[in-house]
Amino acid sequence: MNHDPPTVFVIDDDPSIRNGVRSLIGSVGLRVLTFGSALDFLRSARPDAPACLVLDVRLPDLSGLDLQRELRESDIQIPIIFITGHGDIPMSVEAMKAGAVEFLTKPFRGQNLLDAVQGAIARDRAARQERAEIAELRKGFDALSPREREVLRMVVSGLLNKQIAAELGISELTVKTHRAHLMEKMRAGSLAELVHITDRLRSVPQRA
Amino acid sequence: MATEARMASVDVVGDVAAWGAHFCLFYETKQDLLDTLISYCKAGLEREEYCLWIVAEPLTIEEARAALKNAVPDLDRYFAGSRLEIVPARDWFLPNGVFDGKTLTASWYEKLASLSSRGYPGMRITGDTTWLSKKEWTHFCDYEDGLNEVIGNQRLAVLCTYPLAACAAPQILDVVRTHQFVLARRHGNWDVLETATLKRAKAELKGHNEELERRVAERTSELIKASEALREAQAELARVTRLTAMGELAASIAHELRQPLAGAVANSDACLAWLSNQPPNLDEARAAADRTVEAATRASDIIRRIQALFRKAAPERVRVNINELIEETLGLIRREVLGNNVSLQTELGPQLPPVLGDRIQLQQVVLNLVKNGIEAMSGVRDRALQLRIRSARYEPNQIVVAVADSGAGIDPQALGKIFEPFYTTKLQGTGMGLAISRSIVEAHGGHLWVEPNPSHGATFQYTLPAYVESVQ
Repeated sequence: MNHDPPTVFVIDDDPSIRNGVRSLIGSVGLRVLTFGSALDFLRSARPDAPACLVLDVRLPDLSGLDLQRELRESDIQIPIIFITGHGDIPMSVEAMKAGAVEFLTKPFRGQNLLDAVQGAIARDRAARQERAEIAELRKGFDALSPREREVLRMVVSGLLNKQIAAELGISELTVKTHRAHLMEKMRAGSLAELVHITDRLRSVPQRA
Repeated sequence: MATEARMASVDVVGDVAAWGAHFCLFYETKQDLLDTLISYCKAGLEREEYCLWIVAEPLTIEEARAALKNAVPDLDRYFAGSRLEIVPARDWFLPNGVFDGKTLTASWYEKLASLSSRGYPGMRITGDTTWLSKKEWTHFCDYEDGLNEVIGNQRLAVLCTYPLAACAAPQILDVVRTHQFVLARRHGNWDVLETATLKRAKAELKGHNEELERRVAERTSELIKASEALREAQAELARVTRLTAMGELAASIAHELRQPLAGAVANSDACLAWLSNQPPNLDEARAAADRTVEAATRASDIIRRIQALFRKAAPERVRVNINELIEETLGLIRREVLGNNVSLQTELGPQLPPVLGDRIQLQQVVLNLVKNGIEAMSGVRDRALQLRIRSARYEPNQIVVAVADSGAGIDPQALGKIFEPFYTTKLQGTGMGLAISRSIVEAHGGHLWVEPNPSHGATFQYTLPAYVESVQ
């Protein structure tokens, strides 16, 4: 795990708003990085830290909604707080459906934005934590041999060692050995824990 | 009407006998009868009609013939050509000693058919009734009445003559009832008396005419009302469209104002936050306060621009610097342009003469054309969206403004229609934007037209006459 401070990215083409928001968020001790366009943001190197995005809907070149789509398609997960001067309902519905955490209409009060930012960062922190844990578990699973995976599948589906041995045509002792190895690799202290871990892995979509 | 006029002479009887006439004559003397019938037959012969004179005592065939020959010298020619027949009434009406109306009526139809097949323009008949006795009277009246049906629309005129001495009041009434009109000699003059039926028919006709005229007048006034309503509706639509354009402008302005206001609020909230930190960060607070002032100033600048835009509501004629007007208008919708990912280029000609016109209306033209250009590019994905606005001098005393887009262009078939009211290719268009723009430009003495671009899209351009101040 890294120890970079939480970061708020602000994208607005209006310098007055950009600087106001930067100052506002900076006043509560969060790190702020500002951008005048969505492309500038995409080109920048992003620190590996809990973060959120304060995003204007209307931007030159690539609009806020376009950027939201782009990030989703590139599998970059970052909570988005939209700010807009129009605040029309269909647009906000579209943004919220696509996973925006908040939709603020200009002019908005500082406290509302700060609350939204804090909420989004906490959310991202939890999501990152979750992703890191899953990655760790995944690492254990990836270390399993093909035979160990077979045994794992049967163990968590509730088969006894004797039944697994019969199914695979190997001795019960060999099954026990495989089982000990996979418990160790998966860092599971008990059968219950092993079932829980495999459930968590299953809940995350497999990536190619 | 001829039949209503008092006639000075019996000669007129010839002319009274229009096709379809079934009329009667009451006479006192043989001379009256002869005078009338000779005039009647002579007119028919001169018109190449077939004439049938049915003679009854006391008049004889010879007397009739002699009298007619007096008036028509080449009478023999008509007899030779079978164009004239003078026959005795008893042979005609009482062939077997009895009167048979049905057979007689049928024979009229036959005679008509045979004459018309021989090329006669029509048939003129007169018959006397002195042979008529009381016994046949009712039967004969029915026949006379039925004759009206026969004559109907045929090329046939029938004059029935009745001796006044033989007719008592009830008979006279019967005769008057069964004929269209009556000729009578009164106070030494010939009169045409209309019968009740003819009067009624005329009254009906008059009534129909009046009804028709009334309906025509009614329809006309309905049409006038409808066209007035249409004109009003069009005017109303134009007004609403103008208001809609203003509404859209207002939305753009609102958005334009929200920006600096959001900046002001964010910066003042930041300022407060820095001040309430422990210890307060005065440098940051001051910087945020400075930005607040800056943003608020920007907001008030926008308000000043809007006030300038709406200061005068009534159409006016003032000197307008077209480049300033374009810049101002674009300033109000620039974000909308950028929001649609359209890149905006302006090439405003230097030192253009001013034009004379209504600022708001001219601004609306720019607004309409820019919005039109943006909408024309909304479906384009494979190339850059570019809107180019150009102003230049055009001919010696004109300036031209051109708005070029890189959109889909205009279907050549639609080129002639796009300036027509209500024509639109957009789902939500009123079809009035370009029509209003053209009417504004033309009201300013200019022209608005469109040309396709060589590569993509179209260019809308309009001219306006330059305002030349008269040298005092």
